Amino acid sequence: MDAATPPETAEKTEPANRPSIWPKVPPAFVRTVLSGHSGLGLVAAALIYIVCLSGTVAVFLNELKLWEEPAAPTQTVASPQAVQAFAEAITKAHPKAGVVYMGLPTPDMPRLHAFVGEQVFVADAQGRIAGEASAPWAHFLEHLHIYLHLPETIGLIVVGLVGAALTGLIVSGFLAHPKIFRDAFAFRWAGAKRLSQADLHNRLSVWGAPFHLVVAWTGAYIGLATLLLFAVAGVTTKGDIAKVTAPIYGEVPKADPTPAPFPDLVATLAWFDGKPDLKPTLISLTALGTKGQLVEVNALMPKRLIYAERYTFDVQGRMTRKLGLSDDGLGKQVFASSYPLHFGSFGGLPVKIAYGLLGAALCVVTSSGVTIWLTRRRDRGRPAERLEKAWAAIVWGSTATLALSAALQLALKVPPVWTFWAPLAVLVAAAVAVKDARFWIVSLRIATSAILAAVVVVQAVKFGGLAFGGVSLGVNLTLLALAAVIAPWRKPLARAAA
Amino acid sequence: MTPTLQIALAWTATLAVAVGVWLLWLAWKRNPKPRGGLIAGGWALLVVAAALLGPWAGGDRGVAISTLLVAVAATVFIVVSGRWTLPHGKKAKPIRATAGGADPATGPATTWPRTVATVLLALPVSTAAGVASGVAMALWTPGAPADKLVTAAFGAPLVLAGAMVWTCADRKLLRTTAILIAFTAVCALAVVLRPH
Repeated sequence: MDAATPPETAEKTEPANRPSIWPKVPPAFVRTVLSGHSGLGLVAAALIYIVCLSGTVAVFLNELKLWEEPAAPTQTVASPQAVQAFAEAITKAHPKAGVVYMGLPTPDMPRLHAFVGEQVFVADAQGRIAGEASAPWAHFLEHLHIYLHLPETIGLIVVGLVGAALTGLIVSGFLAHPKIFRDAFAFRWAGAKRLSQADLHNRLSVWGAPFHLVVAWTGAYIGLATLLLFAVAGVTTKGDIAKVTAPIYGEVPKADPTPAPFPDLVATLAWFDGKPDLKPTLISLTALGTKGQLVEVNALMPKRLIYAERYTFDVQGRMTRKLGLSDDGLGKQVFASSYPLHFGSFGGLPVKIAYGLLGAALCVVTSSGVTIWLTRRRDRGRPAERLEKAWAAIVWGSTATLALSAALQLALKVPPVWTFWAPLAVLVAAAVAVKDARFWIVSLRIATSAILAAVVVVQAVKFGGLAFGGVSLGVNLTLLALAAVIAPWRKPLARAAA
Repeated sequence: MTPTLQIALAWTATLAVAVGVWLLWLAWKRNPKPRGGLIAGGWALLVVAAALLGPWAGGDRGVAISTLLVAVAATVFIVVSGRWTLPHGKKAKPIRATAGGADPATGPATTWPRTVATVLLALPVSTAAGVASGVAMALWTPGAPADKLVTAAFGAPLVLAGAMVWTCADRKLLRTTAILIAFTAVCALAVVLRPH
């Protein structure tokens, strides 16, 4: 993907009369790196786009869960007694669950809830199980971003490779455009198509670069860590991955099925009283009711980037070990900071909105990169028409089918995996076969806009008044705003051919 | 430091970001002759903003939040100052931009067999090199075990990313293949000779 300003279309420029402070980069090097940038971008563009699109939406995963299940009870604070009662109720209802994760109410997920395998249960104020709130569409979205719906280990590795490719594209993009900072504010949408796309690509790239690099690199790290752990464990510990990760996650205690009393979670939570810099958010309960049981609490540190510090407690609720994610060496702190940096969970809604905007920018950068390559081919009299149409179908088809999957899941409980991938495949095939790229862009933008509005209608019909309050209202208004922005209101500019 | 002062500093930091981006915008967008003072002042304000956010947001978190602020503020400046409609007549002021730009060199994927070879080099072969380097880093990086693991986990994707770009750029497929295999072999040797 060449994002260079096309020489034949560059506007009249005003030369600087001082020597440039920017280092001279050999043109041959620039051309070679640009070649790698283009080649890699083309190979990975579709997957990068889908991962970026799903990731951008998934920034608001907790809000979407609340929107999808607005009837489930919410609470801003859970009493320790309610937590204890809920843990006992969940264990009684699911005695064979090896590990139960209990989420305590937080500002963006004001629910006392428990993860048992793929299911999510919520509690009422007394800690009784109030019902299931698994939010299947949000779950689908999460799996789309993390695994691309492939088998989990393979999916994680594939997404990791996508992250590595994106990292390579970002770094090579800067190497291939040595003057990118000097032109950092020059945005000429109203120009020849290749010029406008190049400006769009380069301007959004340069200012979003720290964000783009961080999400790509941490994404590559998260995805490829599994592969690396297998390799390191194979070499050093005869395949024992737990032994390799022990320096970070701590030793895993041996299972002992001998019956033991249920842990005292009231005492456990009482340990955090009077510690305003530690806010318990997640309790991990392993092998409850046995001698080998393990109670771990993740406590958020509001002024730190790390996702949490982790404390282990004994059955009486005495703190026995601190993992040290906050202060035990740089490695652990970098590890624990990588997740909030990737998912945008370190600063509440304002940071999430910034992540949403910059994530959308990354989608645009990906889309415009391929468009630049296609436009250059067309300008040189070698248009790749089928590829142009396929790319239009991937970019706007995936947004349309993502919205469609939400609408059909809410309305008819149709599994979203099918309503996302199958229509997308059909759209790409149809686009390659008939009409032109312009037709597909306009049609799919109209479709996306209409389906987004339909999603709001379906949610409102399904949940009535709940759709018009709290988080649901915010999500619905955002969806309507997106529908308005995506709709092709304006007549396209009459652009000069390059 | 009182919470009120921390919040006041945070607002000052936000203002510093806006002014810093504005100075850079003035230097790079409006002024045809880039001014070192504006550029240095703009970047300095952005650095100061990160420091000012520290008391309210925390050190590392403050840097992350201020970086996001800069990205969003600059994007707003670009959108506001961009040319969205076609210029008409003499009123249209030129937008300063570097003329011209490189076209990419011809890459390695010129025929179907070469394309397949390039993809194989960019994916499995580069991945093998990346993972091999990661294992070597995990074993040879000095420091605590957690530091070794994290260095490897963040280093391997960088090696992989570099290999991916290079294999998609270099026309000489045999050279790419040979160097990647040699690199993987050296990493494997480093693993065999690891410190005990």
